[in-house]
Order: sequence, then structure tokens, then C-alpha cells
Amino acid sequence: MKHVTMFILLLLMACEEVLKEVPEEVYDNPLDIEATTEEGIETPALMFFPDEININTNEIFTVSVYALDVQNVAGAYININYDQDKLLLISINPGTFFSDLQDPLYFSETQNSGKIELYTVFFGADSSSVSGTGSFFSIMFAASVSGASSLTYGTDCELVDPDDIQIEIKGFGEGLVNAH
Amino acid sequence: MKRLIFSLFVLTTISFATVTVDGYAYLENQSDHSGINVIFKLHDTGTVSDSVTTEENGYFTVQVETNNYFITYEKDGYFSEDIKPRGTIEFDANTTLSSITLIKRTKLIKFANFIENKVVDNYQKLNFPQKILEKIQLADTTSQTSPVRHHQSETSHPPASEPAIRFSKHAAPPETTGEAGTSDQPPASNLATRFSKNVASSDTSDKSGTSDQPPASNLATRFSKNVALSDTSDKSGTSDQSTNATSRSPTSESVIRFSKNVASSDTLDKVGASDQPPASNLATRFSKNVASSDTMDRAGASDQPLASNPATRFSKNAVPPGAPGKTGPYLQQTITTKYRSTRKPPAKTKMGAMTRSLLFPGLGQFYANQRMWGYGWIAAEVVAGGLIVMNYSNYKTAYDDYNDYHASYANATDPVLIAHYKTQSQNSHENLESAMDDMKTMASIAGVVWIANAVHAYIVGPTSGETAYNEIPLQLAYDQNTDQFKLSVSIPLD
Repeated sequence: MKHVTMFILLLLMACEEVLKEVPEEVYDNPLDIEATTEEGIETPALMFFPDEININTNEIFTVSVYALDVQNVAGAYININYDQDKLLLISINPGTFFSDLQDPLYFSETQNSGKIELYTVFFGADSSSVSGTGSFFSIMFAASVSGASSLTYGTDCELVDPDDIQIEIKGFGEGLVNAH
Repeated sequence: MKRLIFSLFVLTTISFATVTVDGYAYLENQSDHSGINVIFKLHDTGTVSDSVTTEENGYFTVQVETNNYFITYEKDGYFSEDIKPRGTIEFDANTTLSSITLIKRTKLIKFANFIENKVVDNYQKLNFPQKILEKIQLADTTSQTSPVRHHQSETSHPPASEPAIRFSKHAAPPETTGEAGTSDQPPASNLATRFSKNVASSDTSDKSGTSDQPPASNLATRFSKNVALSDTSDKSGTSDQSTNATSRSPTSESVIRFSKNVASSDTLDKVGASDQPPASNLATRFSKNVASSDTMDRAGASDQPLASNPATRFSKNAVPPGAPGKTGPYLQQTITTKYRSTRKPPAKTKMGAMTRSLLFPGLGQFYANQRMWGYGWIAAEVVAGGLIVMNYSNYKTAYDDYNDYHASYANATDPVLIAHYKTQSQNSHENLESAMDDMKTMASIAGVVWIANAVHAYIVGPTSGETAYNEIPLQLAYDQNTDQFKLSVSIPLD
């Protein structure tokens, strides 16, 4: 009887193991408007992509600054805060959102104070602005020490249309870096 | 016209001619052989045509019309005998029939009834040898009294020295045997007996040297018992064992095995001196050979094997004590059942059946000899398992698709691709859930089938105490076409 009981338990455990393989349906792409809306982030928004990074210490990773579901954007000022004790800024590169026949105008200020200020302007050949979702910048960091750190947008970020009218940014995403 | 009338006259005369048929019929171990009804039945219709009763000396005579007859000898308390060699006897002239000795109904009738009830009618399996052989207790030699028999009055009990005969016995009555040399009684013979026992008495052999009695014969017996007696010393005058009661009556040992005939050397020697051939056993599937231990004692210098078979799993040994035999040629014996299995198989249990079915569907049913059920449960479980595998394959496919699409979705930055991969991922997840649901359903069905199979195995499982041996070994059945019993033997090798 003991063996029978053990056999049944093993059978049930095997069935349970099979059932555990069913993955939960998770859609958490930060650039998925439906997903971000479900998370309480309304658009237009500024997002980090990816929004969660798991790396080893001293590894380099790239995070992109995205404008999510914006309309008629012609220029942007983006203020990013990071933990300079844990992350080391390597480089900043322009994104593809404002790319056209002519490269966008951009410049950045890094004061080694854990704050990055980015400026960019769209110079389109056929249009004066862009709409939708796209990246403004790609920022390259290195995890100097292990631990978790975050990337956040400053509240003074601005998006403007060709007429220099400010576009309300309703949501700001956050980036999470886990350095092991 | 004259020729026609003459021909009709001749035909009529021949057709209605009567002939005289006579012969002798004896009662086993009796001096008064009167009262035996000899019945003549017409072969064509089966109706009784004539009958006659024997006189005190067993003689009978009757006038019958020329015809084909079945002849039946019968008397209450005795086994009836039929003469129907190959069907009919045609009497077209005066005929003297071969003598018949009717065998007293002994305890054998119990076994016969048992066979009729358990085997012949129902064709059921018998649990040999435990059950049957226990019923084949032929005689109680220790008490030297006949066991209680039904269909038989106390006065008809055979003498204590009468050999215990299970089926039938061919032996001339002692009186007849002793007087064989001077009497004209034909030998004790029995044709086409279903179960017979041949007793070749050396005592008879000695005395029959001057007689014309042919040997006891047994034809076409499926169950036969050959008894070779060597009680010659009693009456041969070569020893003084007549004063020794224990040695005067031969101690016999009988061994039932599967077809082995052992002849006593002493018997053979003596038979060689006489005109009687040894008792033989022809084509016996299940034979019983009885060799006298007295013979064995005296055959010590010979190379004759003892009537024993150590390798026999189911054996029946009878070594009766030396019984004071009032009549030399008859054998005292006791047959007891001995189960010689050196290893008793483990008893089958319901729990054992259920456990086996839990381990693998149908295994318990096979264990319980319910093969069809076993195959059925296996088939059911195979079908359920096949459906599970099929759904699991679908599940795995959907799972892989979901992972791929979800990874693409997670890495996508283009809203269009994000939406596309998300849709694909959602569809894959639906397929995944559907496959999982189906798999759960099939798994549940398979589980229910599995449990039901186990419960069924417990229900149909063997009863406590049933072993592999006592459910298989021997099967006995009656074949009406051949008018014979058939015995099949199967021995598990495990």
C-alpha cells in the first residue's frame, strides 16, 4: 500500500509539473501602448527601452530613450537621472526617430552628477515633424558596481511641435538596472 | 412361381429364425451369481427385445431372433456392462457369449458422481490434484473395512482384501480364479471400459497356468491402473510367509504420474513362467502403476526401479500396511494425496491485482486471468495515452510558438511589429491553453480509466489463497463424441 501511495503521489507530482509549464500571458513591452496604458502610463510618454536590464558588473548595456505615441514632434528636451555611483555613462548616440535625409541636430550635457540633459531637433526634408513612437537617443552605460539602480526622467522634459508649442507629456517610464 | 414362393419362404424363415444365445455372467467376489439381467436391445430401435436372468452359477440362455443387438448386463449394486464391440452383434447362429464379471459399486461411485457433476455436465475446471485426489481415497486399509458406500447395501461390501478400484476392475472373483483350472469360466475381461483397472494377479497366474484364462486386458483405457501383484509367495510354497500376516498380503505402493509404467520384476518373472502376459498399460495418459513392495523386496537383486517418481510434482503414493489378505490375488492399498511441491507459490490476492493494475493498466487483470479485460484496459489506456500525447504535442507546439512570438514581442520596438507579435503570441497562448485543457481532459480520462482499471482488477482479482498451481494444472472434460474423458495438463514454469 505504501508503494501504491508513493506511486500515486509521483503521478500527481508529474502532472503538476506539466501543468506548471503553462506560462502566464505577460505583455510588458514598454513600447506597447496597450500594455503601458494598463500599467497606468498614458501617452504621449517618454519611455526607456528596455525598461529592465539585468547585467553583470562592468558590463556595458544600451538603453534607448523613446517617445511613445506622440504627434507632430519637432524638438525635444529630455532630462535623465541615473545613479552615478553604480552606472558609468559611456556614450550618447542619436536615435532613429528624427532620422531623415538629414541627420537630426542633437547635443547633450553630462555633468557627472547623475544627470543627463539631451537636446534634439528634427530637420525633415518633406515634413517638419514626426509622429508615433521612436527613439531620440541611445545611451550606453556600464555597471560599475553591483546592485539595482534606476533611470528616470526629469519632470522638466519637453516635447514641442514645429511651432514650438509644447506637447504635454502624460507619462514617464522608468528604467531598472540590475547589476550582479 | 415355385422358385418365388420358395425364396419367400426361405427369406421368411431366415428373417424370423431364432437362435440360442448363452453365456456366463458373474458377480464380483460372489459365489451366487444369480439375478444378473442380460438385456438384449435391438440395434436399430434400441428397444428391449429379450432379457434373461442368470442362474446361480452365472449361466444364462435365451432364444432371440436373428438380429443385431446391444447386450447389457446389469444388477443392482453393480456396475452394468455393455457389449457393443464396434456397435453391434449379429446373431445368426447359436452363440456363446464371453463371460462378464460385474464390478461391485464401491466408493468409486462418489468419484463418478463427482466427475459427472463437476466435469461431464459442466465442463468445468478441476483443481487437480488437491481436490480430486483427495476424493480418490480408494480404501481404508488401516481399518480393513469397506468405507460407507451409497448405492450399496452393507451385505454387498467387498471383502477387506478387495483392491480399491476407482473406475472399474477386471478381475476374476477369487472363487472363480481359484477354480479357474477346473471351471470353464472365461476370463475376466472388459471391453471398452471407460475407466478400468487391470489386475494381473500372480496368484491367478500360478493357477491359471493350467487354465485357459487369458490375461486380464484393458483396451482403450484413458485412465488405467495396472496392478502387478506378486503374492505368489503365499501359495507358491516357496516361503512360509503364509504365517506372516503382514507379509502375506503384499504391501503395495502406487504412484500416479504422467505416463510411466513400471512392471514388477518378480511379477514379470512369474508371468514369464505362466501363460499370462503381464498387465499392461497402453497409451495411458494418466496412469497409475502399482508395484508390490513385496515384489520390491524380493527384487532387491534386480535392477527393477521402484515405483516411485521423486520428480513428480503431483503424485499419489499409496503404501498400505500389510493387510492380512484372505484372498491372495487382491490388493490392499491406500492412496493418499501428497503435494510434493518444494516451493509453494505465493497466493494471489486482490490487492496484488490492484497493485499491478496501478503499475500498468490491465496487468492486474492478467494476473487474475481476466485476459480479455486486461487487453481491454490496455487498449483503453493506450487510446487515452495516445490522445494525451497528441494533445501534448499540440501543447508543446503552441508553447514554443508562444515563447518565440513573445520574445519577438518583447524585443520589438516598432509598434506594428509589437502589435503583430502580440497578436501572434496571444493566439499561441490560446492554442497553448486549449491544448493544455485537452491534455488535462485526456489525462483525467486516462486517470479515471487507470483508477477504474485498478478497481476492476481488485473486483475481479483472485480470491485469497488461490495460487498459480491450483488453478491451472489439470482439466478434465467429457467428450460425448468419442465417449471418452479427456485430460489436459499444463504446468506453470515460473
